Amino acid sequence: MEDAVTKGGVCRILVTLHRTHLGVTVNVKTHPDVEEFMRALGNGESNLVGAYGRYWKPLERPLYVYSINEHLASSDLYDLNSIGLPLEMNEKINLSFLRLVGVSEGAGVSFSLRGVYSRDGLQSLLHAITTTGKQFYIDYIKPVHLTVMVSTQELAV
Amino acid sequence: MKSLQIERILGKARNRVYRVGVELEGGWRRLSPGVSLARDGSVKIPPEYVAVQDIQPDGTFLKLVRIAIGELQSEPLPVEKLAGWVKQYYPHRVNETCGLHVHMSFASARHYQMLMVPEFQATILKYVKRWAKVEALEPDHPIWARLSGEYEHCTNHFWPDLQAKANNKDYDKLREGNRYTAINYCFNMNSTIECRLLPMMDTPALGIRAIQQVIDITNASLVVLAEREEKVSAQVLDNGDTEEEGACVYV
Repeated sequence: MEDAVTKGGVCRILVTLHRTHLGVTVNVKTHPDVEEFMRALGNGESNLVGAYGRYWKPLERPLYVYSINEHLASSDLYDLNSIGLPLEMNEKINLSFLRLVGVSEGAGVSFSLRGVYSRDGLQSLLHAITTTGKQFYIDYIKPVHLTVMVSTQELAV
Repeated sequence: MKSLQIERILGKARNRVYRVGVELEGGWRRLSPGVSLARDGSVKIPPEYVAVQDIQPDGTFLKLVRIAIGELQSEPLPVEKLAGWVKQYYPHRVNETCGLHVHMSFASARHYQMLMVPEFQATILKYVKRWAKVEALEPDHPIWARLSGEYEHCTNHFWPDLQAKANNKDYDKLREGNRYTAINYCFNMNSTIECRLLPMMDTPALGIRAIQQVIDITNASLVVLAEREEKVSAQVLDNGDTEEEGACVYV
């Protein structure tokens, strides 16, 4: 998904959910600038997800997350500090999976989420992830272009 | 809500229920050593006393003991061990306030999620009703009030996702997503689907047949509901726009 263009836009975050015999399989794929942002919040070190919470289970390879040193301003909509926990907590969406190491490489990272959802519930979760993912992108990554214009005015004496 | 068409496979479908847990409510004259009841405020049985032998150094006496009232919960049992447990622990006294709750767990979370459709609850209601007619339960049997959907402990609301996320047992019957529905999806609490529809039956044999009916309906429903599970995906796109369109959000 390197700079994949869909309907005129570059894909920054792609999330796929699938109900399976383990619960829900989550696949996350991001643009490299998202992973670079997370890496830059710490010193590049990573930790195993299992050390934080038990709701995310690796499917193919061990799951690591970037440790972060920087304090991110808290959001009412999403949370980036609930590694290994449910994706909906205290009326916030848990976007901590964006801190997974390797989310921008290849097909991204997949893990199994402990929990059950109805079809409507899964769609609702996906919608919430996308909406809050958009807000995260605007808050931290989307370039901001400002044009400053200085004008002078001649005053008649 | 339409029910599933399970007539042809009811009682014949492969068992997908991994473990069954049963909650028996009522009054017990005597409890086996090590067995204790959970308190249940919804069980209203008038005080009753039984005479038991009281052996003392100076003789054996008869003393009156109040029967124990509450709820007895089984361990998670394989389906084939269910009947034995129910026979052994069935209470001596039951009435219309006593529920016979059935918890079912599944080896696969996919089976659990397949049952998170309103048709499943409608199917349980329809086929338990049919079973009650075949058993010729009396018109004043408490099962009919429960089947009507008007009994406050097992309404016909459908809140699978809210119920599945609940982490503790509360007693609020007005809250959206409360547990007082015919089918309660208490995944975070017990990893089970709970059927709260059945009242305690007059005999253990009838109770066992009622529980088995719930299990059979569940297995048949899983056969009918089996279909390929679709993936759903969405993406955040950067094209300078801020509209949301279908599964894409433009930033």
